[in-house]
Amino acid sequence: MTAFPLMRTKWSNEHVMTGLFKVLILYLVPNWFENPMMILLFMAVVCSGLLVDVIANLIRYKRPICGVSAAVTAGIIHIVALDVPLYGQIAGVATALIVGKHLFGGTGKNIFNPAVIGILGLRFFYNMDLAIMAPSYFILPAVVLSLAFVKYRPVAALSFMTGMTLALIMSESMSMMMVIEYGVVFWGCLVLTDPVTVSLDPRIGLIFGLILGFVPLYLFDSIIALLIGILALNAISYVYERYSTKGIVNRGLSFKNNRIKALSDELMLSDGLIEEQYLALDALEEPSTSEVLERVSKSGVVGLGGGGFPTYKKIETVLDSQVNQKHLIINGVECDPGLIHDKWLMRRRSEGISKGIGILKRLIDFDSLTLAVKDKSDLEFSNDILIHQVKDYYPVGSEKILIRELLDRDLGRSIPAEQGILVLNVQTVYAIYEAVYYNKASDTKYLTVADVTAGTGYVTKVKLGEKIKEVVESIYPNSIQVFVGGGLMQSRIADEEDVIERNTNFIAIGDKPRYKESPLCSKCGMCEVHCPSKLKVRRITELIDQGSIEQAKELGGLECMSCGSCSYVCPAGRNLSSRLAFVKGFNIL
Amino acid sequence: MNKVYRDFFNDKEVLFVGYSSRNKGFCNGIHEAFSKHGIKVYPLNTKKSGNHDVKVYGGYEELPNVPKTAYILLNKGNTNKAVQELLKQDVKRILVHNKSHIDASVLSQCETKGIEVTAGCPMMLFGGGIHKVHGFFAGVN
Repeated sequence: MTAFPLMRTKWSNEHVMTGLFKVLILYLVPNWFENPMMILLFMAVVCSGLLVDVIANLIRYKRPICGVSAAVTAGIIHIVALDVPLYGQIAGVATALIVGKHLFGGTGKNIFNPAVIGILGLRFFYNMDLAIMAPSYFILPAVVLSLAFVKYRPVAALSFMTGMTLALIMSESMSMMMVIEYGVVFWGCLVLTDPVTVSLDPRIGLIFGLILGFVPLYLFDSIIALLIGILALNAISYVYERYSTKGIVNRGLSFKNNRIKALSDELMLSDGLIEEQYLALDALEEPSTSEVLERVSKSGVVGLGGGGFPTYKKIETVLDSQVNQKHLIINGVECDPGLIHDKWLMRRRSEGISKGIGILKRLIDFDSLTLAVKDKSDLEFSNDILIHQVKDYYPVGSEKILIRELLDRDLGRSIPAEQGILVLNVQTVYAIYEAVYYNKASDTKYLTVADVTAGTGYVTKVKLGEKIKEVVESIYPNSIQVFVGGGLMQSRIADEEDVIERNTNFIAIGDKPRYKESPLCSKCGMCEVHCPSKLKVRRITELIDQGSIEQAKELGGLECMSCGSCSYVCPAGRNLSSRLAFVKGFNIL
Repeated sequence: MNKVYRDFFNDKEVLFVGYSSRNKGFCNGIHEAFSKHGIKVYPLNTKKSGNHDVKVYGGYEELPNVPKTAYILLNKGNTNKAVQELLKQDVKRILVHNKSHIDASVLSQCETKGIEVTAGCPMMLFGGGIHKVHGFFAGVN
């Protein structure tokens, strides 16, 4: 069974394209006031585009597919070729969609911008200027709204507009009207931002955007030069994206406004559990290294942040590590937007956590000791523990990202413990304290039980091996859909027989988000922009879908940390992280 | 054969025969629509291939219990085979996605055994938007 984020972006490719189509209409409105018959002309062109697209998609997918991208292509062609007769425009749209899009395999698979191909085709039969628009201030709303699309390829769009503006300045014809007339913003924001055909790499966007904006206008004043230039950029982008192996942008996700909120400060206990039930019957106040390791091992303490790796082995590795400097990082970041129990533990069990840290300090002579948190207000820890408030983004709490944030070290594929860096979750430290001081078996754990629809949850203490269904029933009775996993960003539907495992951190009820698994990837690159491992997510998942697992591994598929960011942001509604988990040969949960 | 109706799912659990990874988006949509209306879904696919978001049972023996209501999303040949298999189980109600997918002889077998068979897409009942429109024109409510 695959895991997935229990929430995802509200945006879809169809939303974006519909927005773009509306902006295109705004470009035409001034013309429609002058000549209302133009509305019929526009509708005829758009309908012809939709018809071609529907037929092609029915042949390819055997079912209707949203044709809004075809409407956008038709709209762009109509705006640029406004003086071309209707039959010419229809022929241009058909050429654009058949030659520019469907011959390459349909939406998202084309190398060249279909609208540019259609316009270039028309240019061979009809005369067209580089000045594509009638200078009118009524076009300004469309120009302003066009700027919203810069976000898809910001560097390419801004460079292109800069290049064209420079050309206008150097030819001493710079004015607002000229900017409108030459479609500086139109080309820059609506054509150069096409994610399917323009590379995400800002270097390509910067160089070719500038050249494309400047040269065709300044040297040739020719629309053919511009169109051929765009097609050349498309070809370069294709080759680059096809053969590059690493992403270059890494932007974390912010969940400041949509986190699970604690409904109560009280701890929920599953059946038969009593908090603090153990007594100091077998307490060790000053344990030796071997006593600590023995108790941690015998108690079965494992990484409770989700790793599930035996803690005594991790400590031993750091002890044996032959490095000059050793560091202890207590991870209380809890960056997943669904989790609330680490925050609760740090405020309600700070004494135990402090004693756990004390045990580790006596064990290893650390050069630094840091407690990493998202919010350090109300925390009560002794002064020798450095509390570091990290930037609030997801997945900053991931081990290697946290090391990068705190120690400014990129470990690559190295194991942190082998490098002398001991990273332990706060709950693991608390379990060490319980094991060493009270010889308590690590057979319970704190986790979050939430209602994702309401956005609220409870900190709950449960027994390992307890049935998930029973835990949920005691808090949210009669729930139909139950999820279990490491957090809101990586959960799966719970099975009837599922039990609390050591790596279970999150149980939730609510509705499963809609993953429509659209076949139409727009290559927007959001999956790559938000991948903390800088993977070429789109290319890797494409290879997985084709069954080329080995090639996917060669592209770094094994480096995926299963954070779920790619699935969260994908506007095509694809659960990409589950595909990557498949490459690793297992589902992470 | 009657069209599907809301009370058909009064048991609040349904066996989904033919939950396929090839048709993942659609199957997911139906699963979510059922779940949102408080109906527990038991997806079944005897081929059991693919990477699913939900637990898909590979056979009747794997099911914790066989629901009394079943929904079949299969082609014609497989629908008839699936109905034959459901006749062996204690299923009381069967919804087929398309009424042309079930043979008259199989239908009369069901009638003889007192099993109610209806046809239609469950999205017409539990989906939104265009599915509701489809349901309206198909006379499903």
